[in-house]
Amino acid sequence: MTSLSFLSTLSGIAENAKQIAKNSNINFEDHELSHTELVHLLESNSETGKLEALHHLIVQMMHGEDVSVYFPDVVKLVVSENPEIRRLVHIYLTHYAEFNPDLALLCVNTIQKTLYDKNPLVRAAAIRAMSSIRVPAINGIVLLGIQQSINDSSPLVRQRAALAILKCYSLDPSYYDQLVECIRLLLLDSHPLVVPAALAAFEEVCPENFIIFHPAFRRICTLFSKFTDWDKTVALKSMIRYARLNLPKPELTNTVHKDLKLLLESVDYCFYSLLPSTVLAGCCAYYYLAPTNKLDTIVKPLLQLLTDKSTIRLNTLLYIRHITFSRPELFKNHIKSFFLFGSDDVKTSVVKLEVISHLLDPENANYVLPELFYYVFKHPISKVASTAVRTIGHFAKNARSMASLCLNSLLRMLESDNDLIVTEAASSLRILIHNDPQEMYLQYLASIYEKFHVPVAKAVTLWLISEHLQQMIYVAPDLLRIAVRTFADEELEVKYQILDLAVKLYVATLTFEQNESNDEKSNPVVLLYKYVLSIVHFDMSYDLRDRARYYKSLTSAPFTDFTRRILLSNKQLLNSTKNISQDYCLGTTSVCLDDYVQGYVPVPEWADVSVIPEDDVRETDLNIETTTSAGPFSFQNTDIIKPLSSDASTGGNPNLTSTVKPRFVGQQSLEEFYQSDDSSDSEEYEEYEEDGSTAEEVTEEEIEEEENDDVNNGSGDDDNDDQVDDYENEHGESPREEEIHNSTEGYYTKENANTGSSFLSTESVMNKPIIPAEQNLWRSE
Amino acid sequence: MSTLEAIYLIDIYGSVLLQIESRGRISPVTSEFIKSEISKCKLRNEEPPFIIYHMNYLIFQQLQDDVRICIPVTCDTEPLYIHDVMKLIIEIIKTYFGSFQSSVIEKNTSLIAQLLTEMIDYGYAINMEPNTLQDIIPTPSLMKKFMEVTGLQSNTPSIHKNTVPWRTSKANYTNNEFFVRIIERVFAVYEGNNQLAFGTLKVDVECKSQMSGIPELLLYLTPGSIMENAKFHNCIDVKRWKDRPLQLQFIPPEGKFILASFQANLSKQKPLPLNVEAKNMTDGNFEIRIRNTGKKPIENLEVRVPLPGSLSSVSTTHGDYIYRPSKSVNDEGAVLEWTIKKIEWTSPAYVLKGTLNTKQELSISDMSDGGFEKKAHPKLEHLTLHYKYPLTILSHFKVDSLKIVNRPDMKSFKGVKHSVIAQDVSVRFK
Repeated sequence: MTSLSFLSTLSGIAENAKQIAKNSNINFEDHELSHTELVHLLESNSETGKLEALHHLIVQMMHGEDVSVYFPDVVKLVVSENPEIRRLVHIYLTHYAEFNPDLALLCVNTIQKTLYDKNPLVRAAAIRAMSSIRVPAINGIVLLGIQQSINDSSPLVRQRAALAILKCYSLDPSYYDQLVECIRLLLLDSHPLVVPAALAAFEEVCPENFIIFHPAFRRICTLFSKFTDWDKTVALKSMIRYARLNLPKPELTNTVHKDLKLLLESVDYCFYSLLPSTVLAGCCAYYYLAPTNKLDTIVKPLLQLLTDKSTIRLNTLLYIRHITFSRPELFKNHIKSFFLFGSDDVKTSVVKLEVISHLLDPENANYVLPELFYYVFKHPISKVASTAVRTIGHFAKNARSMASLCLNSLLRMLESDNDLIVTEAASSLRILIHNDPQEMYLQYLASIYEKFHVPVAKAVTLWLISEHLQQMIYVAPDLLRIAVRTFADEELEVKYQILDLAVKLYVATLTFEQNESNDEKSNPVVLLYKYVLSIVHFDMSYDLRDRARYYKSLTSAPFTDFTRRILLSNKQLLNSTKNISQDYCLGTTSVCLDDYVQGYVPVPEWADVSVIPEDDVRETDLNIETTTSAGPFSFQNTDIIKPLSSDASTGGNPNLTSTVKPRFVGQQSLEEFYQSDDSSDSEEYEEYEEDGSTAEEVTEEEIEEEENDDVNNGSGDDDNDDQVDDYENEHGESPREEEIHNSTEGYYTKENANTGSSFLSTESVMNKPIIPAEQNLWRSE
Repeated sequence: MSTLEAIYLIDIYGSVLLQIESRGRISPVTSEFIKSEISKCKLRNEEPPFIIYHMNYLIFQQLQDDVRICIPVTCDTEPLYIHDVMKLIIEIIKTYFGSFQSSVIEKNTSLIAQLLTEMIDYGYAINMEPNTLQDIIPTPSLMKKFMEVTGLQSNTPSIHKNTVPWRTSKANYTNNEFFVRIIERVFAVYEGNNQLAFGTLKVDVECKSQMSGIPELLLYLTPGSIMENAKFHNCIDVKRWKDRPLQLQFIPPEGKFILASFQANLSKQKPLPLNVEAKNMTDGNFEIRIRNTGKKPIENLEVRVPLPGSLSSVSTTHGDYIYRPSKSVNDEGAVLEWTIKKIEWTSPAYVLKGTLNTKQELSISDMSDGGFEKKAHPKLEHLTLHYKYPLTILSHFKVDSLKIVNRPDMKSFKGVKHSVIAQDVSVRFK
């Protein structure tokens, strides 16, 4: 009760305040603000006014309007402490910075300063905003920011740094080496937020550089279960690629390489995800990596997705169709799962039937065929019914034992009212009967010819009879007589067949009966043939007329063997079932559309054993076993997670701390270890200090100038000083930094000079004054 | 790689409500292209497909309420990943603003822009946990509005402590409550004689948590609660569950979430509570008889009957019916819908009777022949049912008790609510 009354008073106050605000000319309602009003609001001292103006700008921007004219005014707000203002400014900045590179440069320093903020959220936003400004001139500073952020104590900041690498690289690939080094370090990170981002960077910046991937591989596998579901999906792409190119192909369970086993075990967690895409990604990984006898793992997770929403259902089915094409045995026992539900739409139903046609075999036919017949005769949508017919026809071709049953039912379907069903049944029958011509069926077809109302059925009947004239020589003339009667009303394809039948029958009759009678004139076949030729002569289709002319001249001369061979040779009909999406890999849009989509990359083939790197490239001194035991609850302990930290105060997660320590054992004597550690540390420390001081100088200059105008910002100045100091203290004391250097040390003790130079090159950028004093626009007149 | 190029929210009239580019600038051609593709589909009177690929543009789109969400993608990617991203965006906007209507989006454009920018960086999903998002961008509330209006400094987000990634750090309630709801969805096809042809059961365990601090919950299941093909929210440690399948230990996220989802067998011992008799009779007449055979009322019953042709007459004893004529040329897709709010278990059978028109085919050959031989009357094939049957269990899954491990004094478990939803049940006509 009390809380309620409190709220009502609050809302009352809010109303009052709104009223007051209105009176003081600040608008809170949505309506068009004029240019001057907006500028005025952006310059106002109240946060509310600034927010109001910014909201207005962002809304316009989101509608696709160009509001870049306010750039100078908005950029100034980047110094604001209000998180919402800052967020909005960052959105604005990212959008328009590339058009105002000079102005954008102004704010970079301010953003860079916030890289030292105490709040990791602010630091994360800073590195993100900095890297999103697409101005090549600042890339050096961005690189510095990245190099600093990847050593940040907050995983959030490191994650954003990993993505910043991507942006930095896409803007200017010249920092390739430094960026790859950053990716290398981030891949070795031990926080599940950071590694996926690093993987994304790896995939886009240096996908072929497996040297930096090898040492991280096992750790990624063990961390994998703790990735978010979204990251799992993205990360698996890289993992599949890595495994295919760097691990030996598994033949049977007992020969699975231990690293592949490790990967597959971690992929297992995908199947327990509530996100369909993650489940599918897991299935893809299994499909492409697991030994054949393990593949049945993917069956049940896939089948469960079939009870999801229609889009998910359809996509899963398309994947299953792809899998069943090459491995029908996996889903054989689950064929019932593909029976149609009432709410399946046309597309889903068709794909389901295609899957069934892959799975159908004589063993399960006794309960699948009745279901298919039900679809044929009862399904309200004729497209589905005709696909069911095709499925039955396809099955009849493959299974000899059930052929007669299927044939009978297909013949029954010819009498259906539904044109699509008849067409489909006729084209299935064409192949079936042609490959196994039985007089019974041919005679039956001829007998019901008159009832057909679908051209394809007529054409197929005529074609079949003309192909098997020897068997049907007594039926054919009569069929031809019936067919010719309605010649004028027929479709073109039927006319072709009538003409063909006529000429073949003519040649055949004359050949067989040559010796018996020479009375050509009275032979009905000859008369029919002549009649057909004469009516074709007046047909609209010139192709048909041409063909008739060709036959006429062919048959006018005495028959030779060639004539007979041209007209009466046996034809071999191929099973014309089209290959379904065999060429595209799972996990892509291409496989769903069955069409090449731009940017499609197939899963690589297993690499040859000879080019696979040795196992020990993946050997690292990182003790990965210990991290595996920590379940999700370890998140509590990894509190302000310091991945490589040995800081005992983190609440003692012994697992994480122990990951680092044993690193140098056996490689260096303890003394060397401390020596090298000290030297490298102090070296780099100096450089850091230098960086820090340059940054400080620049900012101080600015702020001094700024102070003249804005007294309020004086306090901000102090803050900045404090922050830099803080950072330096932190830097000097933090055991984390040491650890980082230790860790890099392990990989290349000799390359210190190298990192030094990278720092130098970026430092030179820093030393250049970025903003010429006279151009300083901070001073708003 | 799964990189989203941009996100567009477009209303049904085709004007852009919001567009966010995440990987550099996109030419305005793209949005024009999206609009033209959608209007093309509308002209053909069909809903545009989820994947649109044309002229090297790859676009995924989906209509939710009256807003179309479109995501162009740079290159080939896993389609369902995009689908999941869309689903989450819709969910998050719903939790923040209550609905996904175009009016709501128009009103909160700048906040939604902030949310989307927070979720997606350079085309990668980086922060997809609703709870963490709420830590960074607070939900619009009265308190915040008050702060804004009075010009007071709204409290800056406290230093981000990533303790449990899916849980907000600010949960604080006077009443700590935890609800569990078990929803069993039936997917089945029944023969005309009410025999089950095939079917399956999907069970969702939905939870709603309102608990302060970081509670560790332990959910005990009764023996025999088998979860087949189980899928869990990422707060559950799968490894632990494998060892102890009757216990689920987790730190819940705040608000509504799905804890687990799994499949169960549709047993023949426990039939569905609704008895349906659907018959085709002579001369195109048909009759559907529905009776509640359970012990509780059935709610929101919806019967859909796909029709082979047009209807000449319908009548019902209860409920409303609506006839939706087909959109295509050949009479396919016409549907009769019959809705009933509630059927008490004591009420008598509800009946729907109707007559179908005979098919009339207008073709020249028929006319010239003086009418084809008389056409057989079309017949109905099946009907689909959708209804809710509360307070019932079909599977063997039962929750025994819930314990709060780290705060045994808290009594926040409010019990379990069961309900059965006939999601996709069809009955074939006799």
